[in-house]
Amino acid sequence: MKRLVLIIALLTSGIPSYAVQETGSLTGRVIMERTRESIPSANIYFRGAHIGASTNTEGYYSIDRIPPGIYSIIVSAIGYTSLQDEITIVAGERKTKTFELRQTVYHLNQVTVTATRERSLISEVPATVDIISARDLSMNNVQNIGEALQRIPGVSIRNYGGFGDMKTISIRGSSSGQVLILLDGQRLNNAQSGEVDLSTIPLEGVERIEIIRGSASAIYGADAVGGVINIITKSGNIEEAFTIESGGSLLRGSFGSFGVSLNGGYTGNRIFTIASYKHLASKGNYEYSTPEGTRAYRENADYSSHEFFGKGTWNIKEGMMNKSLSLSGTLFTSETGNPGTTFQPNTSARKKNENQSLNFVYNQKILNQFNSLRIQGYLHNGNFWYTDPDAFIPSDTYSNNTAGGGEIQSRTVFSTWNVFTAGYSYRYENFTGTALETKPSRTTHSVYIQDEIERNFAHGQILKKIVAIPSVRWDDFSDFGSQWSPKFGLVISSDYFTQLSIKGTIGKSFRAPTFNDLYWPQDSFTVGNPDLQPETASDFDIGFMMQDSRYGEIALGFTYFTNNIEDMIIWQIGASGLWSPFNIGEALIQGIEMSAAFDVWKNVARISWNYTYLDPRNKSPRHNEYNKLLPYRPPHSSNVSLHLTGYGLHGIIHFTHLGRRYVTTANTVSLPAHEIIDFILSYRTPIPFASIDATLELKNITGREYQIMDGFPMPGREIRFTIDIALRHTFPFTNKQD
Amino acid sequence: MNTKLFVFTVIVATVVFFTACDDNSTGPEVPDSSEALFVLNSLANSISIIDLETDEVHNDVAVVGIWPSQISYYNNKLFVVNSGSNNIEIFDVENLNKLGTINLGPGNNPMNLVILNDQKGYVANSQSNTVIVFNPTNNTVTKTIDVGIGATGIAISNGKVYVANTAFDGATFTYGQGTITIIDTSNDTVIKTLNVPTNPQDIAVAPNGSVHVVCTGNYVDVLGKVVVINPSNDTIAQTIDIGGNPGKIHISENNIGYVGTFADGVFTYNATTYAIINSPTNPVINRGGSGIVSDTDGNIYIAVFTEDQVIKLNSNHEIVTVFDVGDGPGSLCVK
Repeated sequence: MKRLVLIIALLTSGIPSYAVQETGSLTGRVIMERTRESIPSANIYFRGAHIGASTNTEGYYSIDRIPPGIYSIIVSAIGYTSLQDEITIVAGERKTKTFELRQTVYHLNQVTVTATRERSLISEVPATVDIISARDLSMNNVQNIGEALQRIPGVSIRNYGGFGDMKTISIRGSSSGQVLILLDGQRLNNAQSGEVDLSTIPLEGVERIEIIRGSASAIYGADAVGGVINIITKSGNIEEAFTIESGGSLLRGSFGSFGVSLNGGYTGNRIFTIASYKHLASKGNYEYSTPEGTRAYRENADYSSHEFFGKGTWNIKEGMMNKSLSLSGTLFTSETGNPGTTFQPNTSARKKNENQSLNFVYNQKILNQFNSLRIQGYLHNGNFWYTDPDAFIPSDTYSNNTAGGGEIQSRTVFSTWNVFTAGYSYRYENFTGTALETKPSRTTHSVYIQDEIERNFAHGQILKKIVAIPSVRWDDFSDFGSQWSPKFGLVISSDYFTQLSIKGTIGKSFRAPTFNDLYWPQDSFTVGNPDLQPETASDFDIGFMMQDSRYGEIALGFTYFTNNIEDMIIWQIGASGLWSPFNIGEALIQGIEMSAAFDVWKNVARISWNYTYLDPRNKSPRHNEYNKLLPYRPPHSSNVSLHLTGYGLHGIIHFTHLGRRYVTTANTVSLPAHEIIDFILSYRTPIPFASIDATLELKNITGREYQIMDGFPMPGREIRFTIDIALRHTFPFTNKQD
Repeated sequence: MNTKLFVFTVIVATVVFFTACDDNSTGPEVPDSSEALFVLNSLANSISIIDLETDEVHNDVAVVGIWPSQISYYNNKLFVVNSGSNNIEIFDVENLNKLGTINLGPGNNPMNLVILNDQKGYVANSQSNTVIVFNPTNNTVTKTIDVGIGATGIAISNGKVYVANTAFDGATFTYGQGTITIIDTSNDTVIKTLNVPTNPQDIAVAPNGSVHVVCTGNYVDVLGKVVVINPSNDTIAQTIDIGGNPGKIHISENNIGYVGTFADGVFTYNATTYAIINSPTNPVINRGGSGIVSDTDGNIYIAVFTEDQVIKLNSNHEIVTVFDVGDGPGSLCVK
């Protein structure tokens, strides 16, 4: 392994144009524009040099031992417009600088790590990116990942009911198995089914969720056909002070919903730790209409889950040759009934999940400060039990999916305009259990490279930038061969009064056949197909993002996309008379995504909107399928949110429209369009060393009866009340001045 | 400020426009023909109509319930059994307007029905192991009769209802002793249970009244057979080793028995002499068989589930026409 690390480091290292001599330092503060209030947890990042720091609770920062040179600095904080500035560091000089950030209504200038594996502004990466912050999760009273993602343009959550019912995701008309779900950069899609039930992903410890719309196999390999969801846990701010945080929340709601959470953390010099626990339960016995037109209560829909999250980060060495080590672990257990469909209710089926994950990340500079090395290792273990003793076909199955692996990545700054990344990853996946007769396993070796090339042009007062990112990845699977995934992205951005980014990508992606597809045991009706090949796709998107502050904040976004998917794995009756999967499907998915956000009344009322048009055409040759719309892909969907702030209260009204979508492949049966209105009112009481947030949520306030998946009724009018207490004590940070 | 107003207007207009867009829905017209073939499309959850006078196909003219398993014509009405929806839907044969629904209740999984007269029909329920008696005129359920495990096929002869019970064991994916339950229609009581070979799925009645049961076998090592029951004494008159794994049976007016597999073709035998005419080695057609019916002219119609087609054969078993129908054609009936 040491040899491999060295080889990759040497391969990607260059002799940068900077000389490493005496160093300088930068200190200062990050504050809000106009009000000049401090902004805690803001990030100051020297782009390309991989040097950075975060502000403490008073908004102060300090960065020492910076090599002399001219740097591009990104200053960012969630909820604020990021700032990009140039600064000259002189040897032996201690420079002081204060940055003022403006509160934002849009994510245009937030920082993403998922799009290029490196911190970059959303406006400067070719991919279409959305970010949901921990604050967004809290303000929207989100209880699971599905609820968090449901209002993102291009994203469709396939929700089968209440808390414990399955929730899967589609991005840009993809299947759920064509969306890659990552936890801190490591995949959660297991090899058995390929898809992830979003209701089984813990939310505790989540700092933000990044959503990449469009393919990303060139970066992350298999299954990133429609997009990527990266759930990023808290990393803490390494401060020169000690902070102790603790807190908890309590939830009560309709249908017997109950939740409690506890968390605690410690941040000290070079050390960050956090631990949290959450329990969520619900009877789920909401009322619905049966197909016969009578009223009934959802039976066997109870849910109970426990989540644990822990993480520790040790900043082993600070400064330009910094090193850090991070360890994290999650444990999620849930037990729930499986109430079946409205036409086939089930009062006896039960399911149980038990998922554990361990993750470590080691970062260090190698050879010099312009070469960084990142080593990551992980282990995921997922257990799933399903019993249905009273069914026509009784079930009592157990599945265990284990995945482990590691990744080594090297990143080299060749110059201010060229950053090169290369990496190798290894993954082992194994299935045991009763769902399949065999115990299949899969190993994957992957190599990837990416080059970020950027040029700045000053044209009068207008700053223009061009960023081009070619990348390619090779994945070799032990059971079905290898795949190449190239991608090229280009961004042209300018910044004057109006910030504008015109961006586009073109690339190839693929979805791996699952163990279920390959090895499903033969019975009277079905059999797997071990000769399957991956689904392959070619996608292209182009669009723009703009933000204008001349008349207050206003932001607009538009993207056109197309994705041509071939060799789709479709189960159909084969020559043997048994249902089997075959590489026979084709689809051409096109669409547009639009978004807008602006202040109706500065600091009082803000409105945001997005709309997705989808044209997902089945191109399989059968006459009942050709050119028909793919099922469960609504051509029209839109969301409007109104945020109101005043008197310590924050109110949000969400209006969601989901268009008519077909249930059958032949487009003969459809689910009607529906509109849902949610209202959330929260109140924050700041007290010394603490804050108390009280949130009242009215979901589906019109009591609309609707189904997202055919036969699975959604809850009607629902009330949730949450009270959240956060305690924080910081020992004063005294030796910094503005 | 004008920019904001413009954006706001765009938002409102878009929401209103696309909300309105979703309400469009139109269906194809129903042909005005005296002779028609009705096709139940299992995957499309729909009915196709083939105009037998013009050979025009009208696909997806009506939407049916979940997991439709059988379509049947009686007295200017179409009866559709929806095994997932646990109901029977009734349509006007002239315009395919829905006339009503007979709800059978959850947990039944109805598979096939047969209608005795305007007052009485019988539907076999594979999950509840029952036959439900219903009134096809006022769409009400009148009685439930316990039969064998996995009640699937059903037919009427000589004033008696014959029910094929597959004895499928979902826990082990095996088949127990297949049986035929015989019900007296005068008092709707079980009068006899006959043991038959593995997995009896479908029943047809020959012009002479004899009851022909296709026993599919276990799809592995037990092959299909046809059992002929004499309705006068309810004993097995003949067992025909037809082979393959056929699950559908139909007997034409010229006494040819057709048994169809799901995807592997159709075999035939003489329904009077019981001699096999077309075995699995020389099928009358080597695909389809998810539905079989014949018309008064001796033409045979075979549904091909995997290719979304209905194939019309003449009485010499020559292909006359291939119709592209809806997704997953299964049960067929003629008006």
